[in-house]
Parts: sequence; structure tokens; C-alpha cells
Amino acid sequence: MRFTFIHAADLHIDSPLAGLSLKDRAVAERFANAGRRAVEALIAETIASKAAFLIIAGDVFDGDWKDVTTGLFFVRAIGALHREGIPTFVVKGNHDAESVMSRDLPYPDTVRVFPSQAAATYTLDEHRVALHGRSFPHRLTGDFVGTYPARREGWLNIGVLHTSLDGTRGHEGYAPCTVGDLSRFGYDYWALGHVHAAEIVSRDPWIVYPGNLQGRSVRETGAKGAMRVTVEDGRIVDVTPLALDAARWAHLAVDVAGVIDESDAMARIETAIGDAHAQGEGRPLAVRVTLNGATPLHNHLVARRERLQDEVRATGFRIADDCWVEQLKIRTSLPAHQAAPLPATDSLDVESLLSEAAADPAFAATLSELVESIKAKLPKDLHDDLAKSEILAALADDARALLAGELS
Amino acid sequence: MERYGLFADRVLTFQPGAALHIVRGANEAGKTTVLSAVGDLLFGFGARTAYDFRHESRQLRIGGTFRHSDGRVITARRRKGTKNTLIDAADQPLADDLLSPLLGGLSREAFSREFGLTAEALRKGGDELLNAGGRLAETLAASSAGMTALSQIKERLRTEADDLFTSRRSPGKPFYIASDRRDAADKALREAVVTRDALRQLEAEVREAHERLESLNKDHADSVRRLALWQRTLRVRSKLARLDGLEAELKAFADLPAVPEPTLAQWRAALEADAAVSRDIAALDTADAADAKAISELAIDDALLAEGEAIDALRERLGAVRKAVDDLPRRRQAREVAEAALTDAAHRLGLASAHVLLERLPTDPALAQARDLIEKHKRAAQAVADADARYARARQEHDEFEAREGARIAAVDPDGLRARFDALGDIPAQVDRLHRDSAALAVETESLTAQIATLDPSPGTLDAVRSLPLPDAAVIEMHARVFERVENDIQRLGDALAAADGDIAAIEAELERLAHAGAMVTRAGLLGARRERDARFDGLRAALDAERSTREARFAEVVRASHAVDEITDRLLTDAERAAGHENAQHRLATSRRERDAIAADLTKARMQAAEADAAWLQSWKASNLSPRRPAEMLRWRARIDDIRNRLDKLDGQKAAIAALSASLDAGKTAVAAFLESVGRVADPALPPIVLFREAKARFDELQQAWADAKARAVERRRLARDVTEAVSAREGAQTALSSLQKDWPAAMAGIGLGGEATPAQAEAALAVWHSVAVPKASHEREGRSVETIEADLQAFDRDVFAMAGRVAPTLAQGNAQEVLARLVAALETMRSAAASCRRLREAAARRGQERRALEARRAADAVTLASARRALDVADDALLSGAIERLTLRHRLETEGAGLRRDLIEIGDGHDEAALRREQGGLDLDRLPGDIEREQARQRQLLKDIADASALHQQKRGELDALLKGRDAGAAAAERAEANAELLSVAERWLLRAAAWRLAAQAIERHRAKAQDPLIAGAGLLFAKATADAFCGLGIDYGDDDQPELKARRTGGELVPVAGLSEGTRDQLFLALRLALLERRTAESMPFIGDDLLTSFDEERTLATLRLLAMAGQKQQIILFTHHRHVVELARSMPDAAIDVIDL
Repeated sequence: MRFTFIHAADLHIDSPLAGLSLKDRAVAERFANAGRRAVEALIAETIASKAAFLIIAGDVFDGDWKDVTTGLFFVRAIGALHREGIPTFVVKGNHDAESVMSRDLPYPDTVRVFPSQAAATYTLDEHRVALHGRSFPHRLTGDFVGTYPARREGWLNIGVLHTSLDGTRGHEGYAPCTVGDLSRFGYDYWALGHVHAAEIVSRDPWIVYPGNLQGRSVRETGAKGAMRVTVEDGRIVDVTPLALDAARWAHLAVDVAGVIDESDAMARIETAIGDAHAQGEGRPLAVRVTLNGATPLHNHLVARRERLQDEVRATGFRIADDCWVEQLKIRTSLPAHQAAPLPATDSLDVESLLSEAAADPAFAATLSELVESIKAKLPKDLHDDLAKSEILAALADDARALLAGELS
Repeated sequence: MERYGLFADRVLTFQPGAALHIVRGANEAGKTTVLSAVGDLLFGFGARTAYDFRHESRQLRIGGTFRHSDGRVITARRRKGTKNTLIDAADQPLADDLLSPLLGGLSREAFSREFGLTAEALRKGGDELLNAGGRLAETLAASSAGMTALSQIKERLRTEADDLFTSRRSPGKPFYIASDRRDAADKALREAVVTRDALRQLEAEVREAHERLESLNKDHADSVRRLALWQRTLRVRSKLARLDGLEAELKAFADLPAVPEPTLAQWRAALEADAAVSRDIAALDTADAADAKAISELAIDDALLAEGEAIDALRERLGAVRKAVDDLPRRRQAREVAEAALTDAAHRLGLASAHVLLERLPTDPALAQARDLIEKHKRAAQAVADADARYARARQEHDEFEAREGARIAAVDPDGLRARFDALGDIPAQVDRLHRDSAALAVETESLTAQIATLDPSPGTLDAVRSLPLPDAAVIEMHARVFERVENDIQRLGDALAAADGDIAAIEAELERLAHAGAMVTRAGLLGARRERDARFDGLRAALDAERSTREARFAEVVRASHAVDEITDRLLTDAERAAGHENAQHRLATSRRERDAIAADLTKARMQAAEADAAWLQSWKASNLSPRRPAEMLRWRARIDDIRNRLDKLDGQKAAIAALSASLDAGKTAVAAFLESVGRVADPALPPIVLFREAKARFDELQQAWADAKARAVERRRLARDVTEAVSAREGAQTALSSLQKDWPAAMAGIGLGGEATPAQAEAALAVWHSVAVPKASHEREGRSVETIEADLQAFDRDVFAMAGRVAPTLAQGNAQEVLARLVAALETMRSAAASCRRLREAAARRGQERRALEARRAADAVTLASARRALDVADDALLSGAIERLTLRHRLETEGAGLRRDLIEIGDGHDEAALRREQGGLDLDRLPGDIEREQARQRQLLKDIADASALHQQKRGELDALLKGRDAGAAAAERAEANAELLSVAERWLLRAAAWRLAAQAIERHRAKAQDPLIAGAGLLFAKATADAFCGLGIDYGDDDQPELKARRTGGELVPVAGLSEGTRDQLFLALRLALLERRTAESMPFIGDDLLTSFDEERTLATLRLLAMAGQKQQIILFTHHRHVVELARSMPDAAIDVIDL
């Protein structure tokens, strides 16, 4: 007997995308609606592939709904599966934990939400599948996996779990456990959620993160979607990633080392954006471009960053009308073998004067004052973003490069 | 330039040792090409070149030889290409870094910017100094091209930063726009949130509003029904009463037969028509009689009427005739005026009459030729006069110059004296240094003495300090460490001892508190009581066989012992906690006392160590015989002594240098005195060296200036001689041109009727008269023709009018033709009016005849109808008939009214019939009904208002619920908030970068000032003094009201002049002096400074001063000046002490 099921996680419905600074409202709406369209694509794919069931391993919602339509949208979407007779199994994750959500949804009876008080097992007799799972009762959940039930012999055992595993993937505190812990259960497949990057952690047993359904910021780049799992004679034979996202993010590091001509740099950027757009298969693309490498153009690039950003955006629109360059960052440096600066006493060497002034502790104090003055006017919730901003780390260098670039 | 631009194998040689190289070339000679070639040679060809128009790009070659300051000679050639572009004479590649010793890190842009200067850039530089307002940092920045650019960028970035964000809120700035956007998005997001409670509450409100609306609607329907009944009753009330009245009135007409209404109407119409016909026929008869009388009174003249059209034709000609009569005198006068003008012209030309004039009228070509020749003749005569005047001026200028020069004494070339003067050295600087060093020595000595006086303990005098035996700093430091350690130990142990005492006291207090609660039983007490009890048992057992009293006594002892055990056990059980605390406190007390003893021992030991350290410390200072303070203080004391000793060493060096300088000045004074005597001055030995030196310098400068002036005058003399020669040749040329014109003169004059002897003025006068003839001639011809035509037309009109009068009314033919015609026209109009009246009267009589016949026919028809009516009503004549018809008509009107009332009842009774309406009235008080209706209407209005409000509320709640169910698009609001946040951060980052950059630029400019200020101003001051021919003696720094340093020029008299107070030219020179001084400051290899047509806009004096400045700067670095002005070269060569190298392109 052969059948397939779909494993998805981290839908985060109606979670806003990171700010794109996109002025074109039509294109902005395409990005803004990407999250819901990705959910619709997941449902359509589940129906089209005649999947036996759908698993959603936590974080359907980004938090308690700000708007009833968020919940109604999901009920409507999943209603299509119900009408097709395809069951859905859901655990709640840290974002939509039991204590976080103030309202319940009137799910159809083919939707089974695992309880939070204790782990439970749901079975599908037709396919001899036993699904074990437990929803998060709270946002932060510690020892959790130990409560899962033992393997049911003679059945295909699937564990549905929202977890950060051992924390090595940059997430901590969410149902921590190790691959060894999971392996000891003897399940055939662990359908995990929480980590937004897709990963097949183990093949024996299968321990799989499908990644989130839709990238929401430049930190979540590349194809996003779910996993299609094929079962044959009670054994998993294939796990294939499905691209279901409706818009895509890319962070392109373009090496301009040794480039001495701006047009050459632009050509490289255009090639990189073109490749990224081709990989998106026609999806709207939001791309951040970071220029790296040692180049004599460094100062020039810093000085012209905003104008270059406009040109790179125009390049994006040349490729496609929904290919949006979110930001151009200059992280280049001057080549080490630049001509030695003139002696410090030589009063004509403006660049040396700039370098000396930039290295002066008094200038560091000036920068701190500047940062504090604008921070005082920024909303408090943006202070962290400003503090994390790359520009603060490189402010002295960039200011020096900007002046040198303007002077050249 | 082997192959470069228009050049081929062209070599330019710059003489070594020249103070100033001048490359002279006319416009288009290739100066720009040479400048570009220098750049290409030093830095390589760019990707594209504009100099491959003659030679192929890959064949371009330029080469050069450079002399490095260390004596090296570097020779290289350059080809165009991407690599190995430096080649040797055999086209073999040279190392790419061959020129590095010359260029250092200099880029082509920096070379052009700092070492190149055009006249325009010089002018702009002067303006920049003015803009800097003397502020030192900006002024020094302005003198360096790179720093100027930085300063401009700084200002631009500052403006851009301020445009983005300022701390003070400004609504138009992008930061605050983004901030407002973010606040709005935040608010929208908060408002978009929908809670479950809100949803339920709204559903309840919708339900409630609906129920209220339904209730109000029902009340309103009831009220509407009631009001309709009452209002209907009121509406039909009057009509029902009228119906009752009609019934009574109809009973009076019961005797009349029934006649249908159409028949009645026919009878009534026939009666009225018969009466009307009778009235109309009588009126027709009256009209006929009046018209017949009028016709008989009219008389008609047919002959006059027959000529009517001919008379009209004559009248139409009348307008033209009147105009001709008016025009004729004016035309005649115009003809006479034209003829008089022609006669006058004839007389002006000496001709007999206008007729003769017109016969001799010259042709247009003849007139044109004469005019042209006259103009040429005048210009040639003027040219001759101008040339004569120019010659006279040049001659006079030349003679005056020669007269002045004759009296002038010849100047001597001071070049031979320069070496001697230079050998005197810089005596002012030495004197200045001696003064400053001596003053500094005194100040330093005083400062040191004061410092020693502040030391404790006092080391004695300055000399004593030099030899005072002191322990080494390392030894003092060692003592300091020991002191610190021991003192720390004593402090620490003292603290510990106090803490231990505190602990012991606390424990003792605790024990005392426990003891107050009663005697303390312990576990040891219990064991003791048990042992006592067991011993008593043993005693009892031993006394079992003894006497009863003994047994009882033993037994009683056992009982007591048992009681004691029980009591102790009970107290242990009930007071276990206190007992444990007591035991624990005892244990802790013992421990604390042990610890305290140990600490006290350590403290004693530490105090002994302190005493030992103190003794060792005093011992180390014994040799110096000083009483030392604590080691830490003495460490600082020792450092200050070291500093004083170092300064004393330096003081000794300064004293030696001052002595040497003083000796050098004495020797210099002797040399200056000798120099003064050699140039014709007597030196006063009593004067100080600086005064003698200034005298010598002034004398030397005087001789130099005299020599320079003499050379300038020689140039002037050559120019004046050239002017005289040129004026003579110009005069000859003008006279030749005038002679050639004289040949064609007679022929041209004949063409306009003059002889060959006529002068140009006469010829011009004749030409003017001939030009004036054309207009009167044309006028005379035109007016003559008009007069003849008008006279013929008037005669024909008179003839036609009198002929007509003779035919139709001879009596009217008196007076002139216009009066006769007027009378004829009046008679014709009268006759035409009479004929028309007669015709109209006859036509009216015919129409009345027709009307009379029609009226009689109608009367016959009515007579039949009236006969039928009389029969039906049974009356004999028309008078009775009329009365019967009146009554019938009245009855019919009442019946019609009754039917109408019943129809109205149906309409206003809402469809109810008469019977039903009469029934509805039953039970109603009709008098009170209006008041009831008014009250019900008021109630209904209130109900409607309530319904409207309730409906609006229901709709509103329904809409709110729908909106809530649809959601408020929180997703979009969240996305908008994220967008606004991103924008806000983006603006903040952009601002930070700009603000940081402009602050950095400001700090760099300030650093440049701090670094370059003193030596730069000194160097620039020397150059500036030279450039201004010592009108200024240098530059100085002054402080403004804001305590900021400002650059000022120092006049020879010492006065400081702000930059704004300098003339434009002087500012330019200041800029040039600063620029050149800055270049002198370079520690890297000096590159040639190239001025491109730098002196274009300068007058002679300033050009000379600037050349002096360049030549002076040229002693330290190579200066090349490109020019196309010959006089610049001549002025440069006139400078007495400058080695000028002129290269012709």
C-alpha cells in the first residue's frame, strides 16, 4: 500500500513581512498577501497530490489574532480539505500556545488538534498510522518530549512536535531535546516545527523540519514550503521539499573584489539578481544586495550608496516588475596594497587627516552623542533595531569613506 | 613630445637653477597639450585620449628627465597601453614604480589640484578666503584645494543632514513624516484589533435595536389608522350637509319637463345667436356710408405717378453729386500746392520752372552712384584726419618721454651686491631668537625656583637640587609597596578583630537571653539524672531485705530520682529548641574566642613589621639629611625632583645656545657695517645689529627697485618708438585712398546735374532736393485728373433734372437742380399716398358685402331651432321662451352640483360610499375632533422621529457588526507599521551617516589647522610680503570676539588687517602665498608647480609683484608659468635678481 502525506509547520498567518520600503502599492500588496496565498497553495497542493492527511507542527498563527479574519481565513482554507475528506493534525506551538490564544476556532471534525494537558495519539485505521503529539500549553515549555507515548507496534508511528531540538539552530527553551532522545521512541517519522529553515535532521528515524511556509524577512531567504512524505508498505521511502511560498526573499552577497569600474560592479549585481529571480519561478522577489570584497571603488561606493541603490532598484524592475531591491549595503573595503599614505606631517594628505580624526576617541564620543540624539526621538521599540543596525558598527569607517568618496 | 597631439619630436628644456620657468606660446600653440603631456607622462594615459588625432593611439610617445632632490636623475618614456607603459629609449619596459620616488602617493587628480593653478582658480581662491571670513581653520583649508573641497562637502552634508532630521521637531522633515506615519499605523493597528467580547456585545446591541424599531413601527401603524378616520370624518362633513340642501332646492322645479342637457344648450345658443346677427348687420351699414364719402374727396395725378421711377433714379444720384460738390475745392487746392512745391524745387536747383525741373529729373542709378561716392569721399577724408591726430599724439608722447629720460640718472644692476647681502644671514631672526630665548630662560629659571619652593620636604636651592643624594625611585617604590601591604594587613586584622569581638558579644547576649528563660537542662544533665536514678535503684535493690523504714527511704530516693529524670525529660521535650540553641551558642562562643585570639596575635605581628618598615624607610633617607614623608608621597616628590633636574639640564643647554647666538650677532654687526659702507651709507656703531641690518636691507631693496624700474622704462621706450612709426604709415595709407576717389567724381556729379568742381556738401544738397521732387510730382498728376472728372459729372446731373421738371411739373423748375429735384420728390410722395388710401377703402366695402350675406344665412338656420323649442315648452313667443330656458338651466346646475358632491365624497372618503361615511360619524364628537387630530399628529411626528433614530441606530450597529465580522484588515495595518518602522530606521541611518561625516570633516579641518598653522603662516608671510612689495611684512594671528583664531595680514607698520579689508588683488596674492607655502611644507618629493595663464587679469604692477612671489617660491621648488602674453615675459626679465628661464613653444 502506498500513500503520501504533507508535513508543514510555522504558517504564522497574517504575520507582517519586514518593512520593504516599497512605494508601489500594487507590488507591496502582492508581498503583503504572500502569507495567505502560501497557505492557499499548501491546501491546494494537499488536495492535488491526493495526500492521505496533512500535519501542521505548530505556529499556525503568529500570536493571538488581532483580527477575527485571521482565524476565519484558516477555517475557510482548511474547510476545503474537510470537503475532500482529508484529515488535518495540528499541534500548537510557542506562538499559538494554549495560554496565548484567547479564542477557539470552530474547526470541522476532520481537524484534530492535539491537547496540551498531555500527549495524545490519533490513529488512521485505513492507513494504519498512529500520530502522537501534544500542543504547547504555554509560550515557553521545558521538559516536554518525555510525555510522548510509546510506539504502537505494527503501525506507522509519527511524532508531531514543536521543538528547538538541542538549541544549536539558534533557538532555545522550546521543548528542548536531542536527536538521541527522539530516536529512542522508535517512531518512524518526527514531524517537527519551530525552526524556519527546512532541514532533514536525520533519516533513521526520519526527523524533519519543513521550514516555515513563507519567508517574512531577509533572514528567511530561498524557497519556503512543506515536505511531501511518501509511505510504501508501512515504510517511509521518500521525503521531498515543496516550494509553496508566494513571494521570496534573497540576500545576495556580490563580490566586487578588484573591480575598478562601477559599471562592472553593476553588471555583477544584475547577474546576481537575475539568477535569484530565475530561481523564484516568477514569484515576487525581495532582495537585499550586499557588496563585499576589497576594491579601490570602496570610498566611491559608500559615497554613492543611495544613488546606486536607486540604480540597482531600477535594475531589479528591468528584470521583472515585482523584483524589488529592499536595500543595498556596502561592506567592501579598500585593498590592502593601496599606495602608502603620505607622511602624517604632510598637510596635503586629506585622507590621512580623515583617518586620524576618525581614530580620535573624541570622534567616538561625538558619534555616541549623535546616536543618542536620534535615539531620543525614535520609538522605544525601535531602539534595539537601531542598536543592532550594521551602520552603527561601521559608522566611523563609513563616514570616512563617504568623505573620501566625495572627494575623489 | 615624440608623438603627441600636434607635436612630433618636440623637446622642451627647463634650465636647472632657474627661479621661474616661463613657457610662452600664442593661442593654439599647444600650451594645453603640454600640460596634458606632463600629466600623461607622470601618471599614464587614461583609457581614452584626445591627443591621437595626428599620430595613431598606439604610436603615441612622450618622455622626460627628472632630477630628484637627492641628485638622482630619472629618465623614462611613456606609451599608451594597459601595462608596461613606462619604457626606456629602446622601447623596453621599465619598472612600473620607477617614478614612485618622485610621486610618492600622489594621484593625478591631487597633482592637478594642488600643483596646478589657473587664473580662474586663483580668483576663486581669493573669494574663498573672503568667504572664510579670516577664521583660521577655514582659511587654511581654503588654501589647499583638497581641504576646500572637504569644507564644501562638509557644508553640503550638514545641510542634507539637517534636511533629514533635527532634534527640534519640524513636520516637513522626512524623519518626522516617517514618525507620524508610524504613529498613525500604530493607532490603526490598535484600532484593528477585534476581541470576542466586542463581537458579542455588538450582536446584543443589534438585537436590541431591532426590537425597539419593531415596537415603534406597530405604534405608528395604529396611530395612522386612527388619524385617517378622524381626518376623513372632518373632510366629508360639509359635503354631506350640502347634499341635504340640494334635495330641498330641486323640489321647486318639479313642473318643468325633462329636457336633455344638449337640447337645452342648443336652444340657449340659438336665442343668443339670433340677437348677435341683428347687431352685426346694423354695424355694417354704418361703415359703408362713411367710406363712400372719403373716396369722393380724393384727387389723383396719373402723369406724375407714371414718372415715379425716373424721379427715384435722379434722387439716388443726389448723394454722389453732393460729395462731388464738397470734394472739388479741396482737389483744386491740392493740385495747386503740388505745383508750388515743384516750382520751389526748380528754383532751389537754379532752374526756371517746374516744367524744366521735370524734364531734367535724373535717373535712380545716377542718384545712387552719386550718394555712394559722397559717403566714400567723407570717410576717406575722416581717415586722413584721424591718422594725422594719432601721429601728433604718438610724437608728443615720445618727445615727452625722451625729455623725462634725459634728466634721469642711470640705474646700477644690484646683482653683484646680492651675494654679499645674502651672506649677512637672517639677523632679525637671530635677534628675535636671542630675545625670545633669553626671556624663556628667565621664565624657566623663575618657574623652577617657584616649583622647588612648593616641595615638601624642601630640598634647598636650585644648585643643591643638582647634587642632593636621594634614594632611587625603585627603592622608594619598594618601600611604598611594603608600607601599603603592612598597613592593609593591620587594617584588615583590626577589622577582623572588631568583627570577632562583635560576634562574641552577640553570642554572649544570646546565651544571656536563653538563660533568662529559666535554668537550662542539657542532654548531659539527663544522663547524670539517669545515672543517679540507676544508683538509687541499686541502693533499693541492696536494701530489699533491709528494714521497712530503710526500704521506704530507699524507695523514696528512687522515686525522687525518677521524678528528676522525668522532669528533665519533659523539659528537654518541651524546651528542645531553646536547648539546641543554647548548645549551639556555647559551641560558637568557643570557636569565636579561638579565632579572636589568632587574629590578635597576627595583629601584633603586623604592627611589629610596620615599625621595622618605618625604620628602614628613615634609614634610606639618612644621606640626604631630609625628613621623608610617607613613601607614596615621596614617590611623587621624587618624580617632581627628577622633572626639575631634567629641566635644569635643558636650562644649561639654553644658556650655552644664547651665548653662542650673542657672539654670532656681534660678528654679524661688523659685517653689516662693512656692507653699508660699500653701498654709500655710514654705519653708526652704537646702533644695535637689527637696526643696522634693516638699514642695509632697505638700501639693498632700494637699489633693486631702481634697477627694476629702469628695465620697465626701457620696455616703455621701445613701445613709444613703435607707436610713432605705426602712426606715420597709417597717415600715408589714408591719403592714398582719398586720391583714388577723386577720379570718379566729375562723372558722378554730371549725373545729378552738377559740375565736376562741386564739393561733397554741394552734391549732398542737390541729392536732397532731387529726393524731395518725387512726392509733389505724383500729387500734382493725381489731383489734376480728379478735378476734371468731377466737373463733367455735375454738368450731366443738372441737365437731367431740368428735363424731368419740364415734363411733369414746369412750375417747379425754378432755382438750382438740387432744389428742383427736392420739390419733384415731395410732390411724388403726396400723390402716391392718396392713391393707396383710395384703394384700401374700396377693398373694405367689398369685404362688408360678403359678411352681410353670411349673417343673413345664419339667422334663417336659428329660426328653425327656436320654432322647435317653442313647441316643446308650449310658449307663444321668444320672450316667454327665454324665461323657460332660464329655469331649466338653473335646475340642471343643481343636479350637476349634487352629482359632483357625491363623486368628491368617494374621492375624499378613501373609497367609502356615502352611507358608510354617514355611519363612521356615529359616536364622534365633531366639535372636539380638530383638537384630537392635532394631538394625534404631534404624537405621530414624535413616533416617526423615534423610528428614524431607532432605524439609524439599528443600521449603525448592523454596519459595525458587519465590519467587525469582516475584520479591520489588521494584517494591512501591521504591514504598514512594519513599513513605517523600516522607513524611520532608514532615515535615521541616512542621517547618522551624513551627520557623522560632516562632524568628521570638521574635525579633520581643525586638525589641519592645528598641524599647519605656525610654519605655514610664517612661510606664507614671507611670500606675501614679497608679493606685496613689502606693503605688508607678513601674516599674523589675532583672536576674534568668539576667541577663535583669525588670520590677518600685518602691514609694515605693524597694523593687522583682516582678510575682508584686503583688496581683491591682494587677497589673490595671499591665496597664492598660502598655496605655495603649503606646498613648501610637503615632506614628500617636491613636484613642479604649474600656473596656467595665471596673470591674465592683472595689471602691470600686480603682475610684477606676483612674478616676484613666484620667483621667490621658485628658490625652494620648481615653478613653471604658461602664458601667451609677451609683456609677462618682458616684466619677468626686468626683475633684477631672478633667474628667469623662458621657453618658446
